[in-house]
Amino acid sequence: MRAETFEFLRSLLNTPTPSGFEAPGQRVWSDYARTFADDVHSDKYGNTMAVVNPGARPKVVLDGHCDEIGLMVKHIDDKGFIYVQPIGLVAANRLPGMRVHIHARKGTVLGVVAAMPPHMLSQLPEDKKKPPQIHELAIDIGAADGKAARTRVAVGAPITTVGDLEMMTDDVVVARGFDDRIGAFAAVETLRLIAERRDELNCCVIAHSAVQEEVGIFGAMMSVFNIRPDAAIAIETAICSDHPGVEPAQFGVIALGGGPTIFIGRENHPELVARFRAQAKANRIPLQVAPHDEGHGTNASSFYMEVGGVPSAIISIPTRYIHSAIEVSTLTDMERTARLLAAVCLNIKKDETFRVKV
Amino acid sequence: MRKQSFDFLKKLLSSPTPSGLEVQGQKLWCDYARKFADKVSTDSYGNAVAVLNPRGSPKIMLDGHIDEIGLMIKHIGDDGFIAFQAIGGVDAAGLRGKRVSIHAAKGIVRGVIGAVAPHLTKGKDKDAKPPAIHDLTIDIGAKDGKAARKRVAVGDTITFVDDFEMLTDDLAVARAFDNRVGSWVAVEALRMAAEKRDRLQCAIYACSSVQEEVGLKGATMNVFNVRPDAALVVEVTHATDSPGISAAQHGQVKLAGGPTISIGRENHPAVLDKLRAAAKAKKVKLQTEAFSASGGTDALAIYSAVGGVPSAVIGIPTRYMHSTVEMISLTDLRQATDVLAETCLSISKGDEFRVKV
Repeated sequence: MRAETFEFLRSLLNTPTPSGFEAPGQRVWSDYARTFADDVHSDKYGNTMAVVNPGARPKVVLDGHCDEIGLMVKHIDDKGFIYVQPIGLVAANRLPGMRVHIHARKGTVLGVVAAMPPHMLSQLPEDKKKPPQIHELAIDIGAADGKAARTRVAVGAPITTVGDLEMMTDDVVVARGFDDRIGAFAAVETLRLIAERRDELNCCVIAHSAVQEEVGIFGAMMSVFNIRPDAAIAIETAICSDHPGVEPAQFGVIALGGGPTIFIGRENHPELVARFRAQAKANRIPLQVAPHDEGHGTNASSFYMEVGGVPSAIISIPTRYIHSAIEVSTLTDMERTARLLAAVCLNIKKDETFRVKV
Repeated sequence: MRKQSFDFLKKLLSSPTPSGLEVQGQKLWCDYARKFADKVSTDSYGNAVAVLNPRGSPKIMLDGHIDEIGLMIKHIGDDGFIAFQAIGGVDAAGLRGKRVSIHAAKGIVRGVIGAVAPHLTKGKDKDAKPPAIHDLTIDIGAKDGKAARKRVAVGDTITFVDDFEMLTDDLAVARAFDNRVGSWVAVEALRMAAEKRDRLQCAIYACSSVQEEVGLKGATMNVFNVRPDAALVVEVTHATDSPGISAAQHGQVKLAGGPTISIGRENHPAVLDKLRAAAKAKKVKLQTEAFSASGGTDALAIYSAVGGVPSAVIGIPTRYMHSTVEMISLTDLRQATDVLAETCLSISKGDEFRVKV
């Protein structure tokens, strides 16, 4: 990976962007985009767009959401312990023993999620040995009492786990919140590749760094109305199923480093899916294929059924252990995803439309 | 509280407004609004909108939903007993022994939700569990199905009879403050702003929305029709200071502790700044909550619509929500109104609400 690109990736992932509090990440993203985009702007809730070749049609959105899951201060008790609610889909049983950053008005406050010593745990009655629910967790910020705690943090302050980007090998990388900052990363990185080959480009490409996906795909819902795209690609993390404890019969096989993943059905428009397949083949990029997700939606769910229907598709970057502080992905698949997306966009003809042929 | 305002509040709370049949409440609301709004109108589903200073800018929506939870007749048995379904989030465990009003074509029919005498259920396991809603029936005193069907029909809406009463000189009890007090605050804030019209630069659209309890539907229509630049949504919020509620789990909100604001998700930081400044100016202490992770309000329908509408929820602390003994403080209600009116008055022409990137 190019040195400047890697530095941008690192900077984006080390910036806290819990849903609803994405502005610091959007600034990092905008600064990078401004070095090659024709226009960079944000909307009222902070959705941020970078455009190349404005005015051309079709208008193609490459979307990744900049928000990550997190926690929020719900209550501070008189002993100075802090109780939380989730921002997005948080697994409570992963939290005891984590370090967290509370993003308070006056700056970042370090805390730890209280963890019962196993010596005590083994002596508890059976019903107390169950994995904790989120409201049973307490964050310790080292405050003497409630009054001391309340001078440093307040109800409503967002929280992220501590877990910056680190390399595990020269390709495999670990961080918190790849989901879906690598989507926002790949969107703008694709735009950079396209800007370098601008004379071959016949459509308008808008890289979109969305807010508030994890709390209900709300950011993309605003942008689809404002942008009115002709097609939209949501770039997401694919949930890898190649680690112990996951049954292929239940979850299929998506391998880490096995190439970007496309999905079939529902929001994934067949015409767009066909283009991914063709360009992957032409550019010798391995492509993994999976049926559409039956459960949780992505921003593509917001795009495809709004404003009369926007042909959409999801392309995903294989990632292990999503929604934890140790998400694992590969630089190679991030780059492959950007290359594939660039190839698809550069292949789109002037005024082309995407239709299911009836 | 001003006598006319208090009388209007009492009347609103004593009128039946189950989701989908809010007309009686909307008539009261519109009549009240007409005294000082520049324009009052309703839409195809009965959402009501009162406008003050329509040429002002920006356009500020004040929303409160007027519908309450209720029941609807599902089936009338040949024995004359009536089975029903819920309208909105009704807790079946609290229904036995309640009096109800069935809003039939020819007028109100009184009924009671049967409660088997404890003498007869003693020691029976099945009655230890709370009932499911379809286990319950309404008795209207009909001798058989034929007699019952003359008076009521499938699809008739049902509300509880419990009206407004004062417990102290500040605390009031009624069924369904949720959320008739929200629509009351919206129009009352408009009235207060109308008194200070010379200071007012923005346009105020007070909305009494229908069908919140069945999926935020009325506000979804309103936001498309009004196209506001910002929205302030008044809703009841859970006071967590009665026995049996964990502050660690549900946050700490005190009855009569002041209206609340919420942080996160739909609650736009720039709108919150305006609310905080207005509260300070009116010397009102706001309580702060984390955004509602468990439920939605009209703000959830409004903020992501029509390209994004900067929004915030103002909460009225309420005990025992969705029961027939909801409890609020009139002081909280008045303070919420003061803050809302002052917020509107403090907005300058051309003000924009943006997350700064």
